[in-house]
Amino acid sequence: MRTIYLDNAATTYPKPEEVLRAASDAMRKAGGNPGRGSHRLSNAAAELVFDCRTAAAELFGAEPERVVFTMNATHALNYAVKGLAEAGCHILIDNYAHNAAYRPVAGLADAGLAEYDIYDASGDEDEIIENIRSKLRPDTRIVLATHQSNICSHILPIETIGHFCAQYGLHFIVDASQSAGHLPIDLHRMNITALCMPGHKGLFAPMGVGMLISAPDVRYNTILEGGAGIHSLDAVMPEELPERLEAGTLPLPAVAGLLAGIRFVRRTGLQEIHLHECTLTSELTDRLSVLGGVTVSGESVGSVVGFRVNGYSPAEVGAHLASRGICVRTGYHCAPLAHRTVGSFENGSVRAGVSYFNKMSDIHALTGALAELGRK
Amino acid sequence: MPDCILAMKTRTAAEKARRTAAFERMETEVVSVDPSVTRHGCSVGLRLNCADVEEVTRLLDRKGIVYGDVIGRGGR
Repeated sequence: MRTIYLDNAATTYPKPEEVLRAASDAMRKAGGNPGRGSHRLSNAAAELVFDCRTAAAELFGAEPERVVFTMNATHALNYAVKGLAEAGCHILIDNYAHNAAYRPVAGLADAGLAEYDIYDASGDEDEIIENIRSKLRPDTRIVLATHQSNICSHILPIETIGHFCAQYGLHFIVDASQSAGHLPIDLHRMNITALCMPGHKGLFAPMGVGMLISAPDVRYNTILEGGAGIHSLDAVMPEELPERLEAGTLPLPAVAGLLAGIRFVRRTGLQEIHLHECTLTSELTDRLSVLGGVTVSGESVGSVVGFRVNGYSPAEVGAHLASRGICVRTGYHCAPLAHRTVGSFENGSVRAGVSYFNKMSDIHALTGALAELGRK
Repeated sequence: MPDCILAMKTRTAAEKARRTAAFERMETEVVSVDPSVTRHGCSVGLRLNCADVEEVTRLLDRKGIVYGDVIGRGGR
């Protein structure tokens, strides 16, 4: 039975061949610890790490030294939220937020260190800005936005929100977990303070690396301390990024894979990738609409389609698809706020996430398997 | 001409400085600095020809790359 992978919103699969090669080569040829010495292998590793910072900076409109490697997007978002929050400050978060963004904010509130409100980001640009404006308080310091939802293809107007935040002197944190490698993002032009993303989704890296990309002159409180390869007699982390936020050894093979993944995305082109994904999800949306008994939740043309099938729980649909070799994700997708927003809070939904490597035949196989449910 | 070492704040800044200098055809090398010199423990520097110090620091200033003192001759 052929495996059809449509769980790319969880992690992309397959990876480009050059990513696999780069991760392997990093262990074979540059096996030193980056930034922990100046022998040949350590230097080779450090140069590879800097190459990746440079490639990411070029893709996202930043400076290489503002590219901090993290374990994943969750780690980056924890750093952005907790590193930027001032004691007792007020934070605004959108109603599509994943728990990776929501829980750090709610955690601060639970500890009595911050307060937060949720703004509605489901309308048009003007409505979203008005919703944010209406919830602003004198002590608001941070606005957080989910660039693209992880349960549907809803996209927030981050450039407009960024300009609004700049006007009011607010830190603007963007969760780009579902948009990095799919949609254009320019940190400088969009007035983003902290851009958070995983490597292993749209940028095709191996799991184990994410990025926090930061605007110039922003200082973070540290939430993780340890060896940084520099100023080892000091009891505190260095002031300068990226070393300030990179305690411990970096995952060199994953970073090498990320570099190859970024190069793949740049060579292929964001527009080409997005167009391909929109073609697939548009076809899927059309086919779901004629199946009968299927409800699509939220926007569906982009890279993520969420849906429910009448008479079956999402878990039952997922199990049926798995029996046909089709990989999707069911349930709440760690995004209760978003499910509440799109009306699928009761049982969650079935999520199909496409990537550049999916073919139209994958979409036809999915809808064919769903049609079997209707015949049962 | 002897080598000089320009103290750098971080490994990342040192690598950026090395590449910036290389782009202007000035050869430098990222090296570890003797901890006894810095009093902060492990540190990095940029080894360069002492005759290039003025030109390299001017270049780093122009590019906004922060560096420290010239800390004398260095090794690896």
